[in-house]
Amino acid sequence: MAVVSVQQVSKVYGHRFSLVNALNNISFDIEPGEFVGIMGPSGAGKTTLLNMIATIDRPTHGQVIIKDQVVSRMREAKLANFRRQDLGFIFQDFNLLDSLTVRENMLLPLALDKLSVPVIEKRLDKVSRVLGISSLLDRYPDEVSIGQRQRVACGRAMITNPTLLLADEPTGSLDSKSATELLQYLTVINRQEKTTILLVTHDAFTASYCRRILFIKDGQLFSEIVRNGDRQQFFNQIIDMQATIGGGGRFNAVTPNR
Amino acid sequence: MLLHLTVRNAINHARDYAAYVIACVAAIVVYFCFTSIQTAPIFKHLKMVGESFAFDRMIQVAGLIILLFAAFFLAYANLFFIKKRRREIGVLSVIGVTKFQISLLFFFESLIIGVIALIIGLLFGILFSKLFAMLLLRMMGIAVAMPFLISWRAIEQTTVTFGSLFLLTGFLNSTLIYRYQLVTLLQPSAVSRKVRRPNWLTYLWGIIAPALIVSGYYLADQTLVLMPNLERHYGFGIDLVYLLAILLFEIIGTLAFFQAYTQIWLQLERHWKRLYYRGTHLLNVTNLSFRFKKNAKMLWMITILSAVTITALGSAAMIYTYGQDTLRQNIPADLIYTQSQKAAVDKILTQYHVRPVSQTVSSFKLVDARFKVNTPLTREGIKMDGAAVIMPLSQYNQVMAQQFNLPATKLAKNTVVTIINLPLTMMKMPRKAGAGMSPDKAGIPLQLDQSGLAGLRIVHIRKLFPNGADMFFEGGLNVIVANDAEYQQVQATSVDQIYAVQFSAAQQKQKQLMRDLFRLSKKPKQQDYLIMHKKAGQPHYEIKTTSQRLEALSRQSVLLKKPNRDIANANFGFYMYVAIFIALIFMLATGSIIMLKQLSEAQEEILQYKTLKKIGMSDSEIKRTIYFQILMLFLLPIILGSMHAFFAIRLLGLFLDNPGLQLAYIVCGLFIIIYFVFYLITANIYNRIVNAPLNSEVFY
Repeated sequence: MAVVSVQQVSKVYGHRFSLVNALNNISFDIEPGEFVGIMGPSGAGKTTLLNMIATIDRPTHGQVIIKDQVVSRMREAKLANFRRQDLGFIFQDFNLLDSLTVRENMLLPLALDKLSVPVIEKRLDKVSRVLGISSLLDRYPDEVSIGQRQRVACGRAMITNPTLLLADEPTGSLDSKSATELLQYLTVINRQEKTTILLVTHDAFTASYCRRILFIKDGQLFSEIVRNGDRQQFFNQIIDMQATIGGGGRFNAVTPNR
Repeated sequence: MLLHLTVRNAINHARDYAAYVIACVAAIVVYFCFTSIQTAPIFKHLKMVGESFAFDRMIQVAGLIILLFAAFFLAYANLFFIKKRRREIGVLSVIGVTKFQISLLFFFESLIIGVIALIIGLLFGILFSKLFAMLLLRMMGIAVAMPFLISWRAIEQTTVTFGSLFLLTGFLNSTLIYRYQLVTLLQPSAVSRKVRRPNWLTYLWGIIAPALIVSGYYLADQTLVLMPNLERHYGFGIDLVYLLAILLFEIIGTLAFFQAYTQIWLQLERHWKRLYYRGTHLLNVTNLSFRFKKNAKMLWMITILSAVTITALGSAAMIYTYGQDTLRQNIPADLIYTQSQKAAVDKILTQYHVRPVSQTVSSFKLVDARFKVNTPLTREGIKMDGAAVIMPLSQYNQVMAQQFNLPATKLAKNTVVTIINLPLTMMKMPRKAGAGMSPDKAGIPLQLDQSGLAGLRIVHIRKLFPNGADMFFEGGLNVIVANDAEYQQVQATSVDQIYAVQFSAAQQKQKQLMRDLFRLSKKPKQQDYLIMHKKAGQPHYEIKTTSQRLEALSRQSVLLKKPNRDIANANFGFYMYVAIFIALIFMLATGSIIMLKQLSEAQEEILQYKTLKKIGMSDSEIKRTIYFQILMLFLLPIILGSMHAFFAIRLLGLFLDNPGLQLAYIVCGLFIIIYFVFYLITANIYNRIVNAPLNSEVFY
C-alpha cells in the first residue's frame, strides 16, 4: 500500500497569454520506508512537484493521496494540522528561527501540537541523540556550524515521527563534508526509523544515497532508476541519465516516453 | 527621460505611497483646521466673547507644537518609505543610473507626492475646518450661524509651511541616497533575532525599573503628607525638587522597564516549561523579547508621549470641571444681590416686567470671632481671628437646599457650623492628637465676644458658602451658622440681608435685561465696604455703603450668573479645543510611528512565518500570535502611559482642590479607544503581510 500516490497531476501557471505547463500528467507511487529522489534539470518542475506533495500548492488537474487522504482537496485549516503531524520539511537554507535556541527550534512542532512537557523532552532527547546534536541544544542557530544547522532542521522535521520526510535540495548550501554527513544521517533515519524520505536535488552525489530516483524533464516523468548494487555504481547510472536528459548520453538511451 | 521615469515611478508606487500620502494628508488637515480658526472671520466673534484671554499667543504656541510634530512625523514616515525602496535604488544603480540622477529622481518624486498630498489635504481641510470651527463654537457655548468660507490666509500658510517641509524631506531623501552602499542595497537586510541571555546589569535595571515607577507613584500619591514634612526641613524650594524627582523616577523607570524588565520577565517565562512549551506561546515569548529589545527606546518614547498627551487632555478636562465647579460655587443663583443694591435691582426688574421664578432672603449679623483650624502646615494650626458673619440655621438650610440641593443640617444646642475659605489641602489632613484640634465630637471651641454665648463649639467645617463666597467681603470672611435661638441672642450693630433670585430660561434670554443687570454687577452705583471701629476692648463692625472708593474690604454686591458662565464656557471651551488638537497630532504621531515601525518589521519576518506555515502552523494560529504580539507592543506603552497620566492628573488635581475627574477619565478613555483602532489596523495589515497564502508569489 503506497504512502504517497501522485495521480495524473498537472500544474499550469501564469497568465492567459503566457501559460506555463510546469507539470504535465505525472503519476507515481511511493511505498512506506522508501528513500526516493527526484532529479531533473532546472525548470523541470521538481520543486513544483514537491510543493504539490508537500500540500503547499494545489495541482490544476489530478490528485495527490497521502496516507489514504486526498490532500490536494483538503481545506487549508485541516492541511496545517496534516503538515504538522504527517510531513516533515528540510529546506535548502534550513529556515531555522534564529530567535529560538536549537532545542526550541526542534521542539516547536511538538509545542504547536500541545503535547505534555515529558513527552516533548523524551522525543527531543531521542532525536538529538540520533542526529548527534545533544550537546548543542542550548545554542542559537548562528552559534553552530552550517552542517549542524541542517541537522537541526532535520531534527525539527523528524521530531513528529512524520509519515513522509520531504527534503528540498538539503545539501544545496552545504560543503561536501557536511553534505556527506547529512546524507549518512538521512540514510540512518531511513533504515532505523523506517521513515519514508522524498528528496529533491540536481546533484548526482546527493541523489546516489537514494534507493530509487525519478527523473523529470519539462514537467513530465522522464525515467526512473532503482539502486541494485553499491552506491558508486548507482552514481554512474545517475550521471549517465543526467547526460541523457541533457541530450544524448554515453549509451544513447531511448526514453520510455518517446 | 528622467522626468518621465519620475512620473512613472510615482504611479507605480501609488499603492506603496498611499499610506504615506494618507499620513501627510492627515497632518495637513489638522494643521489647516487649526490655522483656519485663527484666520477665519469667526475669530472676531471669539475676540468679542473672551474678554481677556491670551488667544493669539496661545494659538501661536499650539500651532508651533502641532507643526513640530507634523514635521517630525512626516520625516519619520518618509524615512520608512525610503528604506522600503532600497532594492529599487540598488537596481537603478546596477543598470547604470548615477547617484545624482537617482537622488534627483527621488527628489522630484517626493515633490510630486507632496503636491498631491497638499491638494488633497487642503480639500479635506476646507471641508473639515467648518466642522471644527462649529465644534469650537459649540464647546465655547456660542450660538452663531457660520457661513461656509474658505480662509485664503490659512491656505496660503499651510501651503507655504508644508511646501517647504516637503522640499526639505525631498532634499533629505536625495542626500540619503549618497550614503547607501550598493552591496547593502541589494541584499535583504539580515538581522539576527537572537536574544542574548540577560547579564547582571540587565537584572539590576530590571529590578530597579518597577521599584522606580512604583516609588514615583507613591511619592505622587503621598504628596500632601510628604511635601509639608520636607518643606519644614528644607524650605519651599524642595517642592520643585520633589516634583522633578517624581518626573525623573517615571522617565528613567519607564526606560529601564522596556530595556530590562521586559527581558527578565520574558526570560523567566522561558523557564516555565509547562506554559512555555504550549502552542504558540514559545513563539510569542521569543519574538516579544526580541521586539522589546529592538524597540525599547521607541516604546519608551511612545509611553512618555502618550502619558503627556493623556495628562494634557485629562487636565484640560479637569480644569474645565474645576471651572464649572467654581462658577457654580461662587455664583450659586442666577442673580444674587445685597440689601444695598435692592433698589437698583428692583428698578431694572420692574422696568422689564420681570417676575423671578423664586426669591430667597437670608440675613446675617457681623460679629467678632476667634477659633483655630487644624492644618498640616504648622503644628499650632491656623488662627482665625476677626470679623465673621453669623447666620441662622433655618435660613442656611433653606439657601443650601435651593442652591446646592443639600440636605438640611441639624445642630445640637451650642454647636455651630463654620464655613471657611481655605484650600482643602491646607486643612483636610488631621495631624496627630495634641497639635491643634480637629472638628470631632468635642468640636473646636469658638469664642464670640457675646454675653450668654460662651460654650459654642464648631462641629463641622465646610467650604461651600451660601450665596457664594464673593458676597462675604473678598471671600475672606468666615461664616458661622448657629441655631436660630442662639442667633437671636447675638448682639450686633450690623445686620445685612442677601437676596438670591432664580430666573426662568426665557427671562435669561432677554438680552437687554441681562445687559443692564451685567452693567450693574460690573459697576454698581454704590460699593459696600466693611468698616471696623476698634473701641476699647471690643471691636465694632459696620457695613458702609458709599459711591466713593474706600481703603477697606469690599465685596461683590451684585452677582449675575449667565454672562459669567458664558465667558467661562468660552474660555474653557477654547482651552479644551486647543488641548484636543495637540492631543490629536500627538496621537497621530505616536500611533503612526508604532504602526510604521511594526510594518517595516513585518517585511523582515515574512520568511519566518512562511517557514512556520510550512511546518504546520495554521493561518488562524499565526493570526492569533501576530495579534497577541502586536497587542503587547501597543498595550504596554498605553497602560504604562495611562498609569503615569493617572497619577499626574491626580497630583495636579490636588492643587485644584480635587475637582471631579469624571470628564478627565472619559476624555482619556476616548484617547485609548482611538489608540486601540490604531492597533487593530496595524495588526490587520501586519497579518496580511506575513500571513499570505503559501502558494501566492507576492513580493513586498
